Amino acid sequence: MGDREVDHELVLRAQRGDKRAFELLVAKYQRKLGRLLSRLVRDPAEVEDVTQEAFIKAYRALPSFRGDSAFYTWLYRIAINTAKNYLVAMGRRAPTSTGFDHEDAESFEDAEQLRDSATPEAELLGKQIAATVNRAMERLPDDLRTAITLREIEGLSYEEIASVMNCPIGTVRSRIFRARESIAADLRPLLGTDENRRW
Amino acid sequence: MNERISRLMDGDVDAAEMDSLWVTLKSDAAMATWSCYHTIGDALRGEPAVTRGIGMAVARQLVAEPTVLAPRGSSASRAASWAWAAAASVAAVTVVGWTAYSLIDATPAGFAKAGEAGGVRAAQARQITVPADYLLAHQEYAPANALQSVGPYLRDVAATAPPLRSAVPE
Repeated sequence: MGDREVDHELVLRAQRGDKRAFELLVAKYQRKLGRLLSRLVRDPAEVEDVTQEAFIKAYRALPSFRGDSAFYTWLYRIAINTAKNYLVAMGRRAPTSTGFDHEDAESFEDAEQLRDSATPEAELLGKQIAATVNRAMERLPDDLRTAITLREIEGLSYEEIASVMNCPIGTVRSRIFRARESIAADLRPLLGTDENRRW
Repeated sequence: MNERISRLMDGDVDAAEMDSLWVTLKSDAAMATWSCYHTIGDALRGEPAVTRGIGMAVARQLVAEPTVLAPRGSSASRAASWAWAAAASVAAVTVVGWTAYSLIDATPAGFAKAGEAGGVRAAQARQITVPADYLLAHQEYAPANALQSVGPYLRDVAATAPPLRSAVPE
């Protein structure tokens, strides 16, 4: 089961009426979608509103999702349409389709521009998260740091990581989990563990 | 539990395990772990958050939303269509085959009868002898004749031709 299959499994469960499955998809893609929409809607408060609206529209449209494309491609298309309609409703010009489309959404790395689009609170949190994760990464043993880097940054599968690190897949599985847990131990106080701040 | 969530994020869970894992994913602790692990991944990829609290806000709105109940996924419907198509093909082949089979006498007696018929034809072919003069007399009716269709109507015509004259004036 790959990343796309995991999404598809969650979508199927959401389509059968399980809202928790859709919440997991929201937790997974909320940052990515927020970054995407911040390029269209510059005001940080409006970005949050449009992002929420896009997720709700996607939830309502779930019965029409047939799985022909990846879930995030479908979600991004809805988000872009939501942002364009929002801008039109607000009397502002929506960007042209040649200026930006959902294919661009997965590749752009305009972090400086995004920092200008983030709310001060979100910007501060983002900096704190980045600093915490970086510090935790520096403290990791080499084998754990290499494993999670190959997985999260390079996007390699467990099999590929096992080949690169010359170790069994079970060891890769364990190293990635231990790395995540070690970083999460530092990050959880920042994110909060109570229900209101769980995301 | 967290180890299985980590594997789920990486797609290292099969469908059977997903069902048992799903029970644990219902808890808020599992949701927090899922979200935390994804936050770590986004931070490592240098993808800063531009919003916060979106997840909770969407969850609150989802409570008010009517529950989505969609028909089975496309993969299931495709499988069903394929199954129906296959069943229709098998049925068609069965009907045609049965019809053809019923027209053929495939019993042992039928095979024996067919064998006898072949033998009789061969014997008759060997016994037929046609006199050569008969064939010569009726050659014009033979299919090999190029004038088969008009041959019976042909008659010999004799005429006395007038003396030839030159077409050119003298």
